[in-house]
Amino acid sequence: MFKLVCCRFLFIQITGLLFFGSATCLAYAEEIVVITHPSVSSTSANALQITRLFSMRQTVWQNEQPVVVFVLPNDSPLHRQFSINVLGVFPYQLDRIWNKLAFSGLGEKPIQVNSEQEMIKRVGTTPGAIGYVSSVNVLSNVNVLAVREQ
Amino acid sequence: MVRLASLVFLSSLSVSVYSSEHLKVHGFLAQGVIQAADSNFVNDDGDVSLELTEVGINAAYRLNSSLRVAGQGVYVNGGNRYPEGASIDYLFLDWQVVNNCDWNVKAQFGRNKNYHWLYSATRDVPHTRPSIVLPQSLYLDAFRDVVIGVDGLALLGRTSNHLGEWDINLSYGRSKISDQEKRNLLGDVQGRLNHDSDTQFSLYFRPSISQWQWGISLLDANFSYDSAELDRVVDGEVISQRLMVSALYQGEKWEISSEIMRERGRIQNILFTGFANDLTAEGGYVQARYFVSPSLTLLSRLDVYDRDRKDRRGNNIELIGPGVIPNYFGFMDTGTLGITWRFASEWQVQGEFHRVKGTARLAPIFAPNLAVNNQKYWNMWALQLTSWF
Repeated sequence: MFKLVCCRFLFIQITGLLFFGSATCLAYAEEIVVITHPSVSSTSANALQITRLFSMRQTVWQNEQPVVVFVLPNDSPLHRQFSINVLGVFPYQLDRIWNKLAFSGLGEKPIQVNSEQEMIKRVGTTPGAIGYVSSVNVLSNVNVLAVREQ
Repeated sequence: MVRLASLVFLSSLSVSVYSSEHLKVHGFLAQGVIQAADSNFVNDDGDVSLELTEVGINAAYRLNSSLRVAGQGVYVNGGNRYPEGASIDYLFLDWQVVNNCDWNVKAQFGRNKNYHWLYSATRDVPHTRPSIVLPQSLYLDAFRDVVIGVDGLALLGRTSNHLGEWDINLSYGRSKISDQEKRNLLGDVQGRLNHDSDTQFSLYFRPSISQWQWGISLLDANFSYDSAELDRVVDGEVISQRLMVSALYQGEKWEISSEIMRERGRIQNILFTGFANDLTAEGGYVQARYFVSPSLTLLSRLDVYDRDRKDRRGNNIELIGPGVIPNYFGFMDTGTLGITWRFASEWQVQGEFHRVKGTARLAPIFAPNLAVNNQKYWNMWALQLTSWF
C-alpha cells in the first residue's frame, strides 16, 4: 500500500516538473506522505481534492466530519516541496489564501506545527485531521491517504 | 494614542487564546512614515508624517458545525486619507447553508467586508497588501470606509469542477458615511450624505492546471444628500455603477495582476438646484511583483484614472471651485516602485515611491482644494513596519 502511494507521488512530482519547470529542482530529496487521523474514512484522494483541503475550500470530509488541517511553517523546505509538488501551488499563494481567510473573517487558517514529529502527534490525536510528513518518519496512530492521479 | 496602547495590550493578551479549538484570534500592528509633498493626500502641509498607523485584532468563534461569529476591530490613522479612529471593521454571523465536498455556500449577516475586488477584503491589513498605498483609481482612500464593506447580507459560493475553481459573491447593504468622508467628497458642507443602498456581485474563475485567475465584478450604489439649513449645496442624489474585470497570474518568480474598471456616476442637484451630470470614468492598473527570494519582493505598478472618458485631458471639468479648475483635476496617473522584506516570521518592512501626474483622486473629490493641490506632478513615499500573529 505504502509503495503504491509513493509511486503515485512520483507521477505527481513529474507532472509538477512539467508544470513548474525549474521550480521542482530541489523537490526530489525525499518522498512525502499525506496522513490523516484514523477517524477519517477516506482512504484516497486526488491531487485537486488535496489542494482544496489545504487551501481550506473543502472544510468537511465526505461523511461531513469537519476537516482540521495541520501545516509546517512557510519557510520549511518540506512545506515548500509539498506545496509545489503535491498541491501544485507556491507557498506564497497558500499564505495569501490563508491570510485572506483569517483577516477578512471568511474562514480559518490551518494550524501550524513546528516539526514533523509534532505533525504526526497532532494529526494522530485530532479527529478529522490531515497533514503531511516525509516518508522517512515512523508513522503511528495515523492513516496514510493514497494520492490518486486524477 | 491611548486607543493605540489599548489595542496593543489587547493584542498581546490575545496570543494566549490563539490556538483554542473553537476560538481563533489574529491581529496586526503597523506603524509607518509617509510624505506626499505638493499635495493634500496625507496632510495639508506636505510634510513627513507618522500618520500611517494600522492596528487590528480579530476573532472567530464557531458555535456549531453551521454557525460561526467573526469580527475585527481596527484603529487606523492615515491623515487626510481616511477618518482616524477605532471602528468595527467587520462583525457578522456566518451560516453555512451548504457544505460538502463539491460546494460551500454560506450567508453572512451583519457588517461584511467587500469581497469583490482583488485586495478589497483585506485592504486595511498591511501584510496582505502588495503596497502600503493601493492604486487610487480603484481603491480610492478618500472614500475608503464606504467601499470597505456594508451592513447587510453577503452570499458566498465556492465550488470546483473539471474546468477549475469558481467563487461567486453577492452582497447587499448600506453604510454610514462619516463627516470626514462627506468632506472628502463634497468639501466643507453642513448636511448629511447617506449611502442608501449598495449591491455588488463578483465571479472569479481559476482554470484547472493554470496559474491564472480571471474575475469580473459589478457595483451599483445609491447615495442621497440632505442639505442643512445654511449650506453651500442642496439636496440631491448620486448613483454610482462600476464594472470591473481582473486578471491574476501567479508564477514561481513573478506575479502579474491587473484590475480595470469603467464607472458611471450620475449626479442630480447637490452642487446647485438643476445640476445634472452623467460621467463615465475609466481606470485601472497593471502590477508586477518579482520574488527575489521567499522573503524579498519587488513591485512595480502603473495606475491610470480618467474622471471622464470623453474628456481625458480634463478640459471641461464641472466641479465646485473658485474660478477655472485646472485640467489636471481630470486625471491621475501613478507609477509606483516598491519593496517588501519579510525579515522574520510574521514581521515585514515595506517601502515604496510613487510618481503622480494629476490630482483627480485627491479629496475633496467634487470641490478641489486648489490652494494646496496646485502641482500637476507630485511625489509620495512611504515606509511601514508591520507585525502580525
